[in-house]
Amino acid sequence: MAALARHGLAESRPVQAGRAILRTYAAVLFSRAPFVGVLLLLATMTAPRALCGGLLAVLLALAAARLLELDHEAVHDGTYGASALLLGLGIGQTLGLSVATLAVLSVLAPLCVVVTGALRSLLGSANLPLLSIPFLIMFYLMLGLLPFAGLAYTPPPSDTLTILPAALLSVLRSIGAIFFLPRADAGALLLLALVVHSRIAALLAVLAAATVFALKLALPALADSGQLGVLTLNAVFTAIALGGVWFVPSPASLLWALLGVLLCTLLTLGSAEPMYRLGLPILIVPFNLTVLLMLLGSRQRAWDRSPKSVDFSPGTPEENLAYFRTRLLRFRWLYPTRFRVPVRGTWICTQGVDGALSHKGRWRHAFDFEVRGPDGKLHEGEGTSPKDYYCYRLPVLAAAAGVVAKVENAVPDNDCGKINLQQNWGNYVVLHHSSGLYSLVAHLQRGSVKVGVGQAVRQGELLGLCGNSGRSPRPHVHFQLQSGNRPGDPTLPCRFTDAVSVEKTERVVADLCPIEQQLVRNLEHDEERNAFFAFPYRTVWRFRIGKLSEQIESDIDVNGQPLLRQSDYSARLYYSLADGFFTTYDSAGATTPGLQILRAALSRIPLDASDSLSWTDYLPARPFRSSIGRVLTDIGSPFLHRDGIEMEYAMQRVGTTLVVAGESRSRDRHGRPRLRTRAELALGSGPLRASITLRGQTWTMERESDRSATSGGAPEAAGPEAVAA
Amino acid sequence: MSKPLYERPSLVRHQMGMMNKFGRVQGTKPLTHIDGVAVADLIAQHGSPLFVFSQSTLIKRYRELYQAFARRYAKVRIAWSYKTNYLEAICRTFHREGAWAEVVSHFEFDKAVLTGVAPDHIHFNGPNKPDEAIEAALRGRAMLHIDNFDELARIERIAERLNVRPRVALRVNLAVEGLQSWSRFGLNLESGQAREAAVRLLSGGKAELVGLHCHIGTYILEPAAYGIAATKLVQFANQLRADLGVQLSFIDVGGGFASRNTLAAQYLPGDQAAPSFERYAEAICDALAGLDYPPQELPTLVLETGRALVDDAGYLISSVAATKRLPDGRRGLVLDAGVNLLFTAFWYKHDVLPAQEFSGTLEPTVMYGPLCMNIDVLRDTVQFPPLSVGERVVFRNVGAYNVTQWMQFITLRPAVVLIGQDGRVAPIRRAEKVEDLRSFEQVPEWLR
Repeated sequence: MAALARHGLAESRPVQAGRAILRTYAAVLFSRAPFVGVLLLLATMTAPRALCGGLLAVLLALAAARLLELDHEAVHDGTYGASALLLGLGIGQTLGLSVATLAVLSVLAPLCVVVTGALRSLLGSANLPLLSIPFLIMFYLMLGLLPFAGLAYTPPPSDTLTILPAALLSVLRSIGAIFFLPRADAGALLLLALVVHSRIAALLAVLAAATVFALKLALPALADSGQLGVLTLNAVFTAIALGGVWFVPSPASLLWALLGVLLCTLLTLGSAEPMYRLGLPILIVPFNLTVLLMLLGSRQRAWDRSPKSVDFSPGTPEENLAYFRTRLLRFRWLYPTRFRVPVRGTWICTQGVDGALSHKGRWRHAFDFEVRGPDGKLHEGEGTSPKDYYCYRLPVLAAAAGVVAKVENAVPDNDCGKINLQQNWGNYVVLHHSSGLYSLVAHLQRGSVKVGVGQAVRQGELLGLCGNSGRSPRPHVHFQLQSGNRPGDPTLPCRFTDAVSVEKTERVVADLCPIEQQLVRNLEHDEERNAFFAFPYRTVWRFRIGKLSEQIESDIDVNGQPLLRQSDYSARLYYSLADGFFTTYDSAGATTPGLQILRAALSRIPLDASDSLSWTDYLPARPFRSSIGRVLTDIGSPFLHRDGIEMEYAMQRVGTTLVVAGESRSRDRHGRPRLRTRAELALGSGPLRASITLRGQTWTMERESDRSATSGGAPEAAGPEAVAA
Repeated sequence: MSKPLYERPSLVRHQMGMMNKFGRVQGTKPLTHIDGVAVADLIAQHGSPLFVFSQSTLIKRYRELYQAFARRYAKVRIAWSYKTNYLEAICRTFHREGAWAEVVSHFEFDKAVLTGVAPDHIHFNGPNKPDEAIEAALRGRAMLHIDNFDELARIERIAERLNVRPRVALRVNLAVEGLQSWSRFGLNLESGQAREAAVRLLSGGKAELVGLHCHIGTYILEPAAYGIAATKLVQFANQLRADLGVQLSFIDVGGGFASRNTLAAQYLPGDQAAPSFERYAEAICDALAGLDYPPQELPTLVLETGRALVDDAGYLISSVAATKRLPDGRRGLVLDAGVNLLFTAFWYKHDVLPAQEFSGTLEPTVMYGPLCMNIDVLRDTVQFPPLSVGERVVFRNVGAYNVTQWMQFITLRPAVVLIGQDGRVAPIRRAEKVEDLRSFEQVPEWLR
């Protein structure tokens, strides 16, 4: 939460522009942190030519992007300026500063923005990153133009440092070469920036450098080729990109990065000579090529598992890892299809997996459900007739969407205590969900099946009524997942997604495997709870957090994904209102105190009207560590098993507001929860108040005022929600 | 038993002890404890007579009702009928279980809000809604159930003035074969009045039609009647959706489920005659299956069950003030509670039990109240064991309507206590004092 203290008020234009410039510098290292940008800017200050060239290019690029009205957030993120920056540094350092160079730069930097946009359109549709391709295109173009501009190569002056050992100096110089700054001091600043940005990235960089060093020892010819510097540079970038940025850091991603380093080495050694003959320096081509090849290659895998590609909006390797870990903890689905309990209301599981009666062997993954009456018994009266049973003739539903594969509807219902072994399954419905995944409900009442073979059914659609047909001595619903379409095919493991276990209180279980005597029900979607989270779009809320004030806009992005946005910081908190839950995802881009509080306090909320529900969700632990703790845990984190704060939430409607309170399972030494959260929402108008308490310190955000977010600044006519509020 | 109990001598004609015109032979076992709390202790602490409510029974019945419907229909809501019993502790018990409120007057609306119910969780019903009541309801976004055209027009006018768009429902009356139509409430379905009102609402465009409401009567022993009413409502809802594009968010089938009480003219005792919630649920939900709505947009089923939820949970303990032998040979008991407290005695044969061990034969007994009025009879002839002065009887299933319809007449009204789920006993309404009553009164200057 250190970030909380740093952020300030809603900002003026110059501050925003300043941050966009710093972010552009940071983007070269895959970072968004302005501080990283400061270090990189400092690094370019070691050479006046680089400083001027770079800064001029960035300013021109940002101005051009603004004039062209390019995607505001991408501009502020540094996406559009990064290649231009490299171009500016390259031109400054290789051509020196003169009126002619500045003129060339002034033409090329804005064009670089256009090329960046074009490549974004092209590569973006294939979901590939831009990397530094625009820079390469423009730089090669510039080399071709040199004779026309009457310019010539003037190598940058090297540093004259001699205090440090020569080996270290050469390593630092090769790092500095990233920014066309083959200087030890610039290299040292870059190294620092890298460590500040990400410890995992630093680890990957060391790994790459070590690999190249090992290769050099193995292949003496490499050392003489003159390509060692450029090879190290490419290898380091490749390792960071593959090991932490586009893949979730893990031991597997380290190996993947290593493989990338090898490919990158081959590309460097193989193409340097031919390209040199064309008069083109190899620059950072191998890195770009390797990353694109490895990304495209990885997409042919049957399982996107180890390494796991980053299929969300990437942050630092640490953030990627934390996000992915919490996602695994939060959303546990065995199959792409999510199954619900195939009945309405609360039922009792009377036989579970490996049950004592019949759920054995190939049919072990099955469940029997019945209804317990107010007296705790399963039937009224004597229980001698199926009619006496509470569950008899109750609706049985499709557990998930599917197509009806097989139906039986003509087996007579048994008297209590009798079983029909000829037609074991009685009346049943088999649904086909996906290849090799079928569900079966059995022992339905004769003539009650409402669906026919080939019919598509939605989750929750009525299939038939609970009966007592087949091998069923008393009315019950039998449910199982199986691998084939015939009843009796081998069963598959089954978990009910987000089912409620009913005891004295009610608990939402993400993947419920009911056991005998457990009372279960589905979450029931409640329109009103839904209305609490149906935030009006394009509305700006102003919150006060201590002495600060923060504006958060409720919006939808171009993909139709709803989000809360803090435009000044390009900070976005995506959420969804689907599948019976309000769910916030980890914030993309930067984060702000307000979004961080909302993320924790509104982590995941079932849209069920019951006030006695409690549920568990996981927050990524990293943002809640102290700065020192974060640095210490980062390097080891790819190898750790799990990393998340287990939170326990509950909600209650108080008057016209909904209060959601959460506390962490882990306790401090006084027995208090380490992290506590609380949020209050108003019907139809979003969060009013939210707070988190961490290590005894509380941050509270309080809503001050709203306005409509219109480009013209004039408030829109108030909608019905505004009137209601 | 160390010392044999004194047995009061009596002369009785022999008769069959099974079902007869007086109802079943009952009182074979005394009711000495309510939810494990001794009746004697309750009286010692809180005085006699005394109303007692069992919170476990309230919760049990609520969950029974909710689950019976929730297992059959996707969206179910219970709106607690305030007029049945608006003691705050009782209401809170239901609201904690998730109940909304159903009110029929401005007073009840205010009481519900003061109890902590969010105003938009209130169904506002009833034939008389003064302007101030409508205004309060509109401001709180309560659900207004329109009873007549005059009211419709007034709601529109007030909504326009307040610049709000209210959510309203139409109260509909309809004919169910075998039941007397409650045509005095709401708009008639068969005559097209209800449809006219819907068209009127839509063309006015000032309110949003979100619900239909129908209440076929009270103490309905035949679940099929609800099936018929629900079928008609469903047809109407389908029509509204198909013809006028009205997307309902709820269908309210009212209340009226029978409790375990026995009506005065009923032959079978209530606990045998009253259908279970399951049977009502089956009839209603089978009819709702005919709704022509996509599954995710199905309207919520609203139940305004009052009596069947609270009746079983209420007890009235009363003490014998005197005994007498009537000229026709029956025994007469004068109790300290009469029809002033047990208003429902006018239409029920209340289940009554002695509150202590007894011996002796049952004999026809009349139970009189304490009022100096001929109508004050709580049970006219019940087979009852002989009791002595100071001994106590317990009336069961008296939770509905009594503590709202009771009268302060001749005597003061007694305390009401609640037995919590854990056996704790707490008063939820103290006994009235003379000062309470005097505080309402004013004496004109010329009489001072």
